[in-house]
Amino acid sequence: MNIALSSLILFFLLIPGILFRRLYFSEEFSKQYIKESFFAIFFSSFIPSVFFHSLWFFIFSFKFNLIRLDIFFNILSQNPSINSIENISNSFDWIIWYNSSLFLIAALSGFLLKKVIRNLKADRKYKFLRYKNTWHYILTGESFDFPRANVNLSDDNVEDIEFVFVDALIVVNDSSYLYDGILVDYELSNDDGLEFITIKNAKRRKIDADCSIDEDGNKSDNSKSYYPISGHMLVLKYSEIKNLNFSFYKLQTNDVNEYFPTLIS
Amino acid sequence: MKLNKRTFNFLHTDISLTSRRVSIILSNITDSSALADSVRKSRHESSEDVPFSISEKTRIILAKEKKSVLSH
Repeated sequence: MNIALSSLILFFLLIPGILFRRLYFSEEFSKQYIKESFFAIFFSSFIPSVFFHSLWFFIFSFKFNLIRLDIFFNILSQNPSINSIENISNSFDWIIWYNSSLFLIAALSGFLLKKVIRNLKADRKYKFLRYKNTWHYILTGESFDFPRANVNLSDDNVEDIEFVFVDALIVVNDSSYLYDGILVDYELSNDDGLEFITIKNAKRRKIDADCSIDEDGNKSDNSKSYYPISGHMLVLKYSEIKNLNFSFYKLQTNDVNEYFPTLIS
Repeated sequence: MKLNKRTFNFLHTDISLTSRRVSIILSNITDSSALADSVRKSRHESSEDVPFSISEKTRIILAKEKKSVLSH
């Protein structure tokens, strides 16, 4: 069998699985699509491909009686017959139709399956359906819905969270600094970790200076002393962060149209 | 869609980090700063009653947005 032809056919057979996975791991979970090696991609695409090809094979065999496996295997052989090649060229429009509809259904299935799982919140309830990007669940507060979570929301739900306030501990030259601000963006890394977080209205304070004792032994609390960081947003690289603290807030209004942030409970 | 909730439905399964209301407040430099400072103050005072006011401009935008949401 021709190696180039067999490789091409193998790739062609894997396309439904590749499309299914691409759309299943889309949007916020797109980083999970990327695998470390060709074999990882091959095996993770192989099972969905087998499923979609089997489904389409049965539909087209029983409904249209169009599938001729003998011709398929014949063109893969060392000496394909003229009849097989003629048959393929005569049925070329059906082959295009078969494959394009198969690719479309595979891609659509991946997209819809993801939407159904997410919309039903099944990935939060069942661990085996959960995406690997744990940080996404933590940063959006969806982890509150995990059955294992010991922090349950009694009055509010995850959708009530209006913003997330972050404290990040960063060590620079043996001095610890606490950066805080409103979380506005984040980027997940290819290894299911976190690449960076972006905070707005950031301020920082030196932890060592939080509390000082003077010569007379009087203790002073400096924890309210912040160093303002001017700018629209501050990007903190995850690799440089020691600890992260998240606070999930909603806004409430009073009679004089003022807002006050309240921790969700 | 509600202004004070983060959108999460079949079409929007990619849940945003902020509600539409907070997103509008954050768009204004003064208001977003007031919001962040209100959080810091409430944490230091261990009180949930540290209010902040928003500018007239943001108030108008929020009112328009609310009207638009109600009309849909």
